[in-house]
Formats: sequence, C-alpha cells, structure tokens
Amino acid sequence: MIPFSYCYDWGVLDEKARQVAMAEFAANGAKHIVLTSNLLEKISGEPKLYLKLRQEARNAGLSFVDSHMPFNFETDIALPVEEWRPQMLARMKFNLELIHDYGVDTCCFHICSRYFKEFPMARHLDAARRSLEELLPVAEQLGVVICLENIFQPCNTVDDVLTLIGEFPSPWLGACFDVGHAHLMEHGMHVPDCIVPSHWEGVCEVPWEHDVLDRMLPHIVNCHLHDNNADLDTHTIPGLGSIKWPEVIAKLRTAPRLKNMQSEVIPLRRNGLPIRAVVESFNRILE
Amino acid sequence: MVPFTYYFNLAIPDEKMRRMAMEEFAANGAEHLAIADGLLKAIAGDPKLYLKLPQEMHDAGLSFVDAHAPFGAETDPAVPVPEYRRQMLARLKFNLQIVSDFGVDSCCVHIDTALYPGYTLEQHLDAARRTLDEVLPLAEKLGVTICLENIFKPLNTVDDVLTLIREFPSPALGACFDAGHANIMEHGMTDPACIAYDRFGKVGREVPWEHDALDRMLPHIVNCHLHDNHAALDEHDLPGTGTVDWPSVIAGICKAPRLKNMQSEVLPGRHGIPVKTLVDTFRHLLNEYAG
Repeated sequence: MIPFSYCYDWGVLDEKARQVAMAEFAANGAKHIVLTSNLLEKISGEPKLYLKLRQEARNAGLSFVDSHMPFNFETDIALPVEEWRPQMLARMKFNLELIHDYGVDTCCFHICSRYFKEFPMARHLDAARRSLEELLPVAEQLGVVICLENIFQPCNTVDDVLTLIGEFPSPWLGACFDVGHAHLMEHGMHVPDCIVPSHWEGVCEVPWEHDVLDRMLPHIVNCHLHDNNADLDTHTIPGLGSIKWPEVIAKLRTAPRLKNMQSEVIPLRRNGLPIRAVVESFNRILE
Repeated sequence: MVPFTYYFNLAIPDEKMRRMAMEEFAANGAEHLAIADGLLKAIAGDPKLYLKLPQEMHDAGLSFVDAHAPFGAETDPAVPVPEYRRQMLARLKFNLQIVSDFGVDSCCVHIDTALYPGYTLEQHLDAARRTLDEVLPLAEKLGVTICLENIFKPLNTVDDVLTLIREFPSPALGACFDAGHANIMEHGMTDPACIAYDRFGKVGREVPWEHDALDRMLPHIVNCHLHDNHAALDEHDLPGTGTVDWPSVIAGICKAPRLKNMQSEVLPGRHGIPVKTLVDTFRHLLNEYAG
C-alpha cells in the first residue's frame, strides 16, 4: 500500500496548536504528514525544533512521509544569478540532510519559482542542470529522490520536467505530479480569469498542455493532490473543483515508480477547511 | 591593528528596526559587527534574510567580521548521541558556508554546552574529535578558522581547547580567548556562588581552576570575546564594571601571532547599555592599552 501523507499550514501555528493539529490528523485516521517547505525552513533555523518536531509527530502517532524543498527565487535550482547560487546549493544540501535524517525518501523541488525576465529561458534551464549535477550525488548518497514538479509557470512545464529527467537518468531524480497544476494547464484556456496567462506575460504564449498525467506517468515518484476549477491555484479539497478524480487516482496507481501520495490541500488558504473534511475527502476518492 | 567587531544579535524580524540598530553602531564609529549565533540561525531559516543582510550592512557602512556558531545540546561538536550527529554536522557545515559567503574568516565554536547523561566526558571529547575530522577540510576549503572557546564548563577548559588544537594542527583551527570566562576560571574560587562550581559540580568534578589562560592560549588565539564580570557570574558586562584586568588582557591579546580580529561580547540588551557607551568604552580601552 502506497503511504498517503498530508500537507498542512504548520507555519502559522504555535507549538500547542501544532500538536493539536497533529492529534486532529491522527484522530481522523491519518498516519503520515509532509515535511513541508515551511517546516524545513523552521527546522533549518531552529535546532531545538528539529528534535522536538519529530517527537511531536511520534507522540501523535504520525510519521513524516514526503517533503517539499523551500521554494522561491533564492532557493530554486534554476536560479541564474551566479552570486546567489552557492547559498542556494548549500541550503539544498543541508535540507536534503535534514530530510534524510527525518527518514523521508522523497522531496519535491520547484525548478523555477521566479522567472528572471532579464535572462533567457535557456539560461534558467542551464542553471537547473548545473544544480542537478551537484545535488544528485548528494541525493544518491542520502537515498532521497529529487522530484521535479509540474507548475503553470515558465521553466516548470511538463516538457521542462521531462527534459531534465531525460538528461539525468537516475533513480534519484523523478517527477512530482501536481494534479491541480496539470488541471490549470490542460483546461485553463477555456476559463475566464485563469491565473496561468498572467505568469507567461512578457515571456511567450502559454504552452497549454494535454495528457499531462500520461506523459509524466513513467517518472512519477510522488504527487500533489488538490482541486481547483482551472481558474485559480486554490489547493482545495477534491470535489470542490472540476478535476475528474476517479480517472486521476486510477491512473496514478499504475505509476511504476510511485512511492507515496500527498494531499496538498492547503486548509487555511481560503476560509479554513476542517482537517476532518480534508481526510474524509481523500478517503472517499481513494476508495 | 586588527579589526574590532561588536557582538549584537541582528536577528530582528522588522527590517527597519534591524537597519536602525546597524545605523546606531555606525553613527557611533563602529565599523564591524559579528555574525551572532542568533543571526546565523535566522539566516539558516530565512533565505531572503540571507540575501538582504549584506546590502543592509553595506548601506549602514558596516561589514561583518567574526562569527559565532549556534550552540546548544543539538549543535555542539561534542554531541555524542549518534542520532543527533548528522543534523549537527550538516548544520555546522551549512553555517560555515554562510559565514564564508558573508566574507567572514573566523567562527567561534563551543566544544560542548550540554553534557548528555549516559555518556562519559571522554566520549563527548571523542565526538568532538570526530566532528573536527569531518568539518576541518571544509573550513580549510572555505578559508574559515574554527575557533574553540574557553568556557567555565567541563570539556571547555583551556586544557580541552589546547588538546584539540594540538591534535588537529591546521590553519583552520584555533582558539577564541574569552576574557570573561578566563576571569571566572582564574579568580572564581573564592566566591561560593561562582558559576564554575555549579557547572563542574553537576558532573561530580572539582573545578580545575586555571591560571595564565591568556598566556597559554596566546599562540593559538585567532579571535576573542571581551566582556567583564566579577569572577562569579557570566555577566557579559561592560569593561570596567567588573574585575577583569583590562590593561593586561588587551596588551596580551595584541601579541597573539594568529590574531585576526577582536570582539566585544558585551550583551548590551542584558544590561541596558547604550551603543554609544559600548563603543566609547572599547575605543578608550584600545587607545590606552592596545599599543
């Protein structure tokens, strides 16, 4: 059985609220939580929390499965600004160590969270290549698979993800299939006010996508499951958007490299979704 | 004259307040600030701060000189618990990288802050050796000297510091002479409230009172922590408020052949000391005794 893990907005919680939320997940039958980008940033800066957090999860009867590398222009593998790259690489290596130490063997990476319009796209992708050259040996040594995520932004398309995976054939590099992002790139062109075109302004036409899941399938190692209406990246619960969940789940289960599945519903992004509603929605679609 | 730097925790979340603190030091004639342990932790957890800080310091006309690695049970080189060591080593290496990226070439490291029950002192010291084995090559590559500090605690005595330095002869390993800590270990024996009694008593040891700490460490001193106390508590107060013999200390340190910088480790926040008073005090001290 592939483990199922839950993302949560841990960053806004103090210690007590964090422990209550963990207990809430466990009481609703969850077994695993994600080492989120926010948690990674926090444990990077707080050595005490590093030891405490793991114990808190254990106390709640939870374990960490899957992780998400901090993302933003300072921490993306495609960072083309040379003077910022040493800290980015050092930070990623450090985070991979922490991820491994938490017993987690997959980590989602954004290729590029901020596209620098002063640099061509090829320069970004070249920077990503150089980063992978340096990071993959570390990932291999630690036994953590770097999973590149499809996003609706330049340098993060399915083509970009598959190109890099094709260039670095390694068991330590794979794909993170984000179903919400795929939905935006496959159906956003028909939806007024879709967020996607704004991300491509001044770069090129939006390269709308199709058959994303089929194309990524051989390389999918982890996934981000959340819903939307192909307009905004709402990260809401399955059923509140227009994704066809039975098809997605059935196909995902055939991914030959799949190690885990993740709810990337962000409960506090909108009006606040109860943990129970999140867990129950996934119980339904996984049946 | 080597650069003089001030310990001040710039891990202030509000950017304006942080910039104001920098400006305050600059307005009083300071040129350098140390990367405090709290700031290193903040930078490690906040990539944006990492990129912002150098510009903020530049805008204030300051630069970073010297650094202090985070210390505590989870981050000390002598952590003997196998499951804690990987993160400690990764953290120490990452911190050295940050220190180097910020153009700083010395970093004070506590050998051990908290003793783990169930492990002997020798096991802790052995763990510190294994840490140095792994970290020194990186420190050499980055050009950062790891400076072991004398403290009034088991595993941090002058003997411990010198033992490790002799076992690892490297330009990337040296000593951080802490004048306040030396004062406690040299003169605290007459005060029953001296903190050293408590720290050594906890592990059932007699305090190994020290003498001539500065002379003994002198050949290896790369940086230093200057602050005052009454030889009982670790006050980190302004020079002149305690019993440290400042003329001898300043004149002595200035003779250290490997000295890269000098640092005020007075904690202004703890004692409500204005930056002006702090900077003026050290300026006077250096003018009088630095030779």
